[in-house]
Amino acid sequence: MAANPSEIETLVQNRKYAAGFITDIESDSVPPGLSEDVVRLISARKQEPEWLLEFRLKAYRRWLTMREPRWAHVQYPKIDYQAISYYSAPKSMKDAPKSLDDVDPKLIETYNKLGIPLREQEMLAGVVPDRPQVAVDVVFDSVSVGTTFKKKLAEAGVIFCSISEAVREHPALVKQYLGTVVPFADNFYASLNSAVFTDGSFVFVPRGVRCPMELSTYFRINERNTGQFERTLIICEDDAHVSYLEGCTAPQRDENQLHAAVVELVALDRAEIKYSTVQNWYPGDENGVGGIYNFVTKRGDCRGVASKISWTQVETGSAVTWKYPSCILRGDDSVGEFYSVALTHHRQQADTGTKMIHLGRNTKSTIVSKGISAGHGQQAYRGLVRVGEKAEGARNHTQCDSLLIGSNCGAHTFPYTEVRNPTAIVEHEATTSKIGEDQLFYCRSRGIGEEDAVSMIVNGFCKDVFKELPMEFAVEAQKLLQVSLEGAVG
Amino acid sequence: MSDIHASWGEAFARFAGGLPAVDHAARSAAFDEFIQHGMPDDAIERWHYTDLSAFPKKPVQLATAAALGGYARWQLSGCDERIWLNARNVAGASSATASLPSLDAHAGIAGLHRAFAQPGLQLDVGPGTALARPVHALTVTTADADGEMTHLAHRISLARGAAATVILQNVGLPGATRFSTQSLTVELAEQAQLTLIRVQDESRSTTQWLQTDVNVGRDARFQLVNVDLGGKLIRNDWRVKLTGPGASTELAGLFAADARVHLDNQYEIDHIAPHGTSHQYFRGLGFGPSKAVLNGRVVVRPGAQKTDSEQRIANLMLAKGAEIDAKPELEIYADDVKCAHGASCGQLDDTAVFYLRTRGVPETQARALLTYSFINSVLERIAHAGLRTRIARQVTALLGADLDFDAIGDLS
Repeated sequence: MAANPSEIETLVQNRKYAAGFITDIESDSVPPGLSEDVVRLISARKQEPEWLLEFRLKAYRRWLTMREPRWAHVQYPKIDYQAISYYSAPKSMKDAPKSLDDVDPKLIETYNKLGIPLREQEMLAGVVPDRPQVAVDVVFDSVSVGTTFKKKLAEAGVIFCSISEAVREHPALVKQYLGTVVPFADNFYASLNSAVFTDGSFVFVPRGVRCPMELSTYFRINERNTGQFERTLIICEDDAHVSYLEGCTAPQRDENQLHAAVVELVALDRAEIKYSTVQNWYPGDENGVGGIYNFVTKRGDCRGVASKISWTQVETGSAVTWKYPSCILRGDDSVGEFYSVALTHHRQQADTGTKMIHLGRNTKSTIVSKGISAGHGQQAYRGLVRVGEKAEGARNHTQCDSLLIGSNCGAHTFPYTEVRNPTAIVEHEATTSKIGEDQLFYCRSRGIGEEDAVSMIVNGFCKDVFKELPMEFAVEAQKLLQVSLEGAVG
Repeated sequence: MSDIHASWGEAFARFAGGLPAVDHAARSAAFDEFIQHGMPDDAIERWHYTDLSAFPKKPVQLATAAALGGYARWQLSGCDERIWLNARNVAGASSATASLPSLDAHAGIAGLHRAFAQPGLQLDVGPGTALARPVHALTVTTADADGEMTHLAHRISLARGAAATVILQNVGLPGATRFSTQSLTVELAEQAQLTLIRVQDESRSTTQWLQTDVNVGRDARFQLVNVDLGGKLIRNDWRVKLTGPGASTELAGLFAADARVHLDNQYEIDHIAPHGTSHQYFRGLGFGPSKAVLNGRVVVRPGAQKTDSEQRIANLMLAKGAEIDAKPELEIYADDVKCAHGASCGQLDDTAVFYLRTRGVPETQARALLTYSFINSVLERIAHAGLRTRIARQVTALLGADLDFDAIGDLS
């Protein structure tokens, strides 16, 4: 037989990290270390109002009393929180650019390398005429370096800017919603983020507006010894609709870098938020040296009736991932969805999943999770479905599949279901399998190369999730998986 | 807290005073473990849903001897009877000393159990021997003064090719407020086969912890049916290790939770050797205000290739106030395996109830009948007709129905 398991393993071995370059740019970082002074300094640099500084300090003081969570199925050395620099900005940003033309060309170059269309002019000039328009906010280390299509969005009444800008321009909105979905004391990493968050995106879609284009943020960690702590806040008022995409990369470095983000989504009556992530932080090399620790708290609050929040994630990067995008289904008839593809190989570890908290009546949730584990990768799905006492007629379906490539990897499933209402229907199903030799043989006998065959089988395995991604991202995600599995056949 | 510590110390001193020196040293060490680690709290993932750290609140002492008129109401036809009353052997053979079990459990509570454990069922079956009659091990606790406790250690060892059926029944009379721990260690040598049926019907004020450690050797088989019907706070830990190639196990469980019971079952199957097979079938019923937890964990170790594992959990919510928390876990470190699990929680099908009603079956009876058929996939695994019907009757009675099981016939 042509493809034996060891060949499949080599298929995955030679994955190269394409986004691993470092941009040589002068940056302005605060020295490593964390104290109240650093929190005050970050707040001062960002010229924040007093209430936000108070929020940060409250979070910091609470964080000091908290213990790092250890329940996740991941192992990593103790993180020295005093060795991290909590603020880093490209130096040329000091006199904040007035428009994209003022942005350091080197930054533009970085994003071009990553294939991110930062310059809206090009798009408008019709360089890629058939491409749907996407507004982009770009966060480089700790600060947002530019947001495109602002004018067009403003015409529709949509606010899309960096969170620092939102604090300055729309303080009332930020104050009203910040920390209401993920409270400052929510968990260890959320508290840390609340204390030191630097930038991130802010989206506000007013009543009845359907956002005219996809919104997108690209996050990039560049500087050595920095952590990235972004904070994203998306609010959809009654009957509003938005689709938001996020992508992440980081340079190839030997040390581990910490990324602890918080994302808060608020959907009011009949509003709909679709949040898609392609996470490709540097995963470390094949021996597990370097890579990003991705400890993220993402939560959506379906506050209004018949509101809907949908999470879609493709996780291929990071050395260690600890991430559970969740939905609180508070409004009656609200809907939560979670679609995930996670790939771990070499020494990558992922403990990821979701939480669906059913509080309102007739709330529905769907979970589809696909885990692919290769090399020495360890992959865990951890999901909670909770049906509260008052959630009459709640409905959940969970499908959770794992694919194993090679005999040294691991796939784990920890689905928590907690049902407190007798009218609830909750279902969970999971399977674990490997790429069948018969499947590979079948493809090969029809003249399909092994690499293509594996890629085809993996894509088929992930199809249910990819079809939920916006078209552009679906293509990117498929490519990413393909690259990840490149050179797999010996 | 210090009062409690002092009273534990006194209880231990009273108990250990008359023990031989060797035994005393081992027990003291176990007791120290308990004092050092205390009881498990919910910060430990395995104890997430059951926190015993505040327990017990009252002074403790070992249960005193009691006498009971007779045991006829629990006796099972065709069985070899062994009976313990308040942890004292009153019928059937038992050894006088307990071998202290080493348990794969929280150090504190295991220490407590080891410190106080009294000998329970000690069953050794020689090579190639198949026991003709099932062994019925019955533990009964009587109404007591508050703050009494019992601790029993059972052990079953089957030599190569041996076979046995054991029915372990734990019952409590109304008003028995005991805190009780029991352990059961099972060793199955090559090709041995054990069927264990455990029925827990403790008093509505009893707190009980049971830990069962099973070692299944090459081509050996362990089959379990566990039925939980009573108690106030019940925690059962089942750890089955498939240590020999070709070892297999089938775990089936049924619980009926009502009357403010807190019921936590933790099943764990560890596939250590290749070619192992494990199947699990659980059915749960949530009656009145109650909390039932079911955790099923399957671990496939590196090298345990060709493992075939399946787990099915189905729960019925029959009343308001019931809570059922289910978690079917998989931890897989080998790639050539077949593992699947499923968990569901729902209600009786209204159209099925309607169908029966159109055929003249009153609603209460119809619901009881459907519930009976729901749990029958577990009941049918109980290889004792009398016991099976007794359980079915007790469960359906919770729905206010008195089904005529003679008319229904034996569904198995």
